[in-house]
Parts: sequence; C-alpha cells; structure tokens
Amino acid sequence: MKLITRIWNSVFYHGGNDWWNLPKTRAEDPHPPHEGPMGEMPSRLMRVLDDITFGGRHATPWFYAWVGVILAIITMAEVWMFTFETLGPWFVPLLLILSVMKFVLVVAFFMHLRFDNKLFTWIFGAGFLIGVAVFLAILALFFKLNG
Amino acid sequence: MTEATHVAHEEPLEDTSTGLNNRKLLMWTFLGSDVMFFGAFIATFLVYRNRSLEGPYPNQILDIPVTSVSTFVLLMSSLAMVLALDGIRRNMKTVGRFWILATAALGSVFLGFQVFEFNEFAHLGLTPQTNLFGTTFFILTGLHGTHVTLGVIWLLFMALVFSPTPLERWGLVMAVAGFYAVMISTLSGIFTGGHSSLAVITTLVGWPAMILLLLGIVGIFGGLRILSTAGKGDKSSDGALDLELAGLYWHFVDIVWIVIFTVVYLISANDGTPPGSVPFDLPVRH
Repeated sequence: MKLITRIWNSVFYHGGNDWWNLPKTRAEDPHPPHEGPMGEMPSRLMRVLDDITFGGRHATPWFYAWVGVILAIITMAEVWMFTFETLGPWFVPLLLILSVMKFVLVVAFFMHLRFDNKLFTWIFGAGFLIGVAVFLAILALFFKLNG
Repeated sequence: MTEATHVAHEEPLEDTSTGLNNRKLLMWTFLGSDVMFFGAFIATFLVYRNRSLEGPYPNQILDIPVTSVSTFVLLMSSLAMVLALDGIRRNMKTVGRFWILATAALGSVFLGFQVFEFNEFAHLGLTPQTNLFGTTFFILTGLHGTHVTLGVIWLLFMALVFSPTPLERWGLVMAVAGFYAVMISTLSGIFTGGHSSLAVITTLVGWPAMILLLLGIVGIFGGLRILSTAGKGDKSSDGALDLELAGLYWHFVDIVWIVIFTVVYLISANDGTPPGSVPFDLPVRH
C-alpha cells in the first residue's frame, strides 16, 4: 500500500516534479492544501457528500424519510424494467446494480454504519465478503462440473 | 441544518477492550455470519435455477405485482424501524412506540402476503416436494419468513418493554389484538374467495369474520388512543440499545429480501421449461 501511495505521489503530486515539471505555484508549500491532479474538487466533493449524508452524527427523521422514498423509487424502477422488458441483455446487470444500491442505502443509513464506529463496518464487511466468496465458489464449482 | 435538529453522535466509550458495546459487536458478528447462511441458500437456488424437469415452472406461477407490493411493505417497515429508534433516542417514547408497532404491523402484513403466496402456489401444484424450483424456493423464502416472524415477535416484545405501566400494557394488548383480528378476518375473506385449504382461517366467514373485523378496528383505535396518552410525560430513553439491536436484525431481514426479490423473483420469473422437461398445464381454479 505504501509503495502504491509513493508511486501515486511521485507521479501526480508535488514530489513528481521530476516527471512532469509542474509549474511553481503555492504547491511549493511543505504541505500545500488540495494538492493533486484535480485540485480542490475531490475534497470539496467529499465535504458536500459528508454534509449531505450526516457523516459522524445521526441523521434527522426527514433524511430517513428521503432514503425511504429513494428505496421505493428504485423498487418501482426494477418492476418497471421487468414489466416492459425493453432492456435485453442489460436487464440482469441493471437489476443487480439497483439491488446493490438498495442494499447499500439500507446498510449505510438505516443500519447506521455511516454514523457508527468503523469497526462494525469491518466486521459486517468481512462476513459479507466471505459470504459472497462462498456464494461465487458454489456457483463456479457447480457450473464447472455440470456445464 | 442546525445542531439542534439532529442527535450528536457522541456515544460514550464502553469499558471493553474495543471501547464498543459487546452486545452490538456480537449482533454485527451474527449478521455477518447470517450473510453466509443466506448466501449459501441463494447460491443453491441459482445452481438449480431452470433445471426443474416437471412443472409448475417459475414463469407460470410467480406473481410479480403481488410480490412488488410485499417488497414495498417490507422496505417501509425498515423506514418505520429507523424512525422508532430515532424517536426513542430523542426521548419521545410514545412516538418511538408507535413506530415500533408500525414496524411489527408492516412485518406482519409482509408475512400475510407470504402465507397468501405459499397457499396460492400449493393450489397451483407447487410444493417443496414437487421439483427443484419448489424445493429451493420454499426453503429460501421460508427461512426468510422465519426470520421475519422472529423479528415481529422481538418487536412486539420491545413494544411491551416500552410500555411499563398496566394502562399502557392494556393499550398495547388492545392495539395488537385488534390488528391481528383485522388481519385474520381479511385473510379469511381472501382465502375463502381463493378456495383455501387453511381450515382454521376459512371457518371465519360471513358474520363471524365481519364482527372480528369490527372488533379489530375498535381495538386498534382504542389501543392506540390509550398508548398515545399514557406515559406521555416519560422522557426516559432507557432501552435504546435494546431497540437498536432489534432494529439491526430487522434491517438485515430487509436487505436479504432485497436480494431475494431481485434474484428469485425478477431475474427468475421468466424461466420456463428447460430442455428435456415435461410441459405443465396449470390447474383451473373454480
């Protein structure tokens, strides 16, 4: 991980002047703010996202209601896709993407993982990853054996 | 958004090695293991998908509009659950208790849909013994239904915990009994029209069912009226952690259904007769 970070920094950050010969700006500061290929945008985006999703604090009932509305809209979209059958080969991948979105919304906001200690996320995430691995292994094994 | 509109997330550190509450940690560990449990059954369903050699086949019996409604009901129960916890955390016991009961009610309605669906399928010739689809379908959705049933019982118990005085408990019993009376009388009407074999429910037809329905409605409104006034001044938020654990379980049941609805219903609903299978004619309903 450290190696990747070092490569990333040397390619895109101030330390990468040997590579890119970046113009001399305030990025010459020892720890310049918002240094990077996209400037302030990522941190600003993260701040907005953090504000909208109540990072580090509990949300309001209205926020939960909005999450409920989004869940209902996604479910309606799924049923609409099923009913009109116009998506052809995109049907299953799109359904899975929408399903994952619903899953993440419930786990992050209704189950409070967004607001809670990160250890809970790691514990549940570990179980989830093992579960998905077992799931894929069963499918792969069966289809390998039976075609 | 001012600070006053939301509860600050400053939970005190527990006297444990992790600084976190052990019960909550245990619940998350359990939920992680339950993912593996359901993952195995969903994988089994997919492995045997479209391999039934005898009907009925999924495209003949799965009713997507009905299941969509039940899915919506379960999603809204999750919303009610999170509002219940929010109410209790804000020391608004009557609000929290109302949403706990709403969650249990929506969960019960979901179970009613499942009973209706299983009964329909049995009449159309699909049982766990019929074919691979029947076996994998009933085991997966049945296990999920069992989880929902346990969740409803847990929630009703939580409603009891948040109703400490005798008057509140009377109100709770009235509201809950009223709700189930309405559900049973409604289901009896549906099953009687659908020629059900569920003898216990179908004996309640005509006037008995109507009287039960009316008594149920009176019970719901009377019980909720008592609950909305009794214990109104009680500002205690004790038991918030107990409710949070019940909530985590309930939301988990919801996310499992999100996956089941997509994989078992939407993706598999068009599965017909695989090569080498026997065509199947659905029985005609009288």
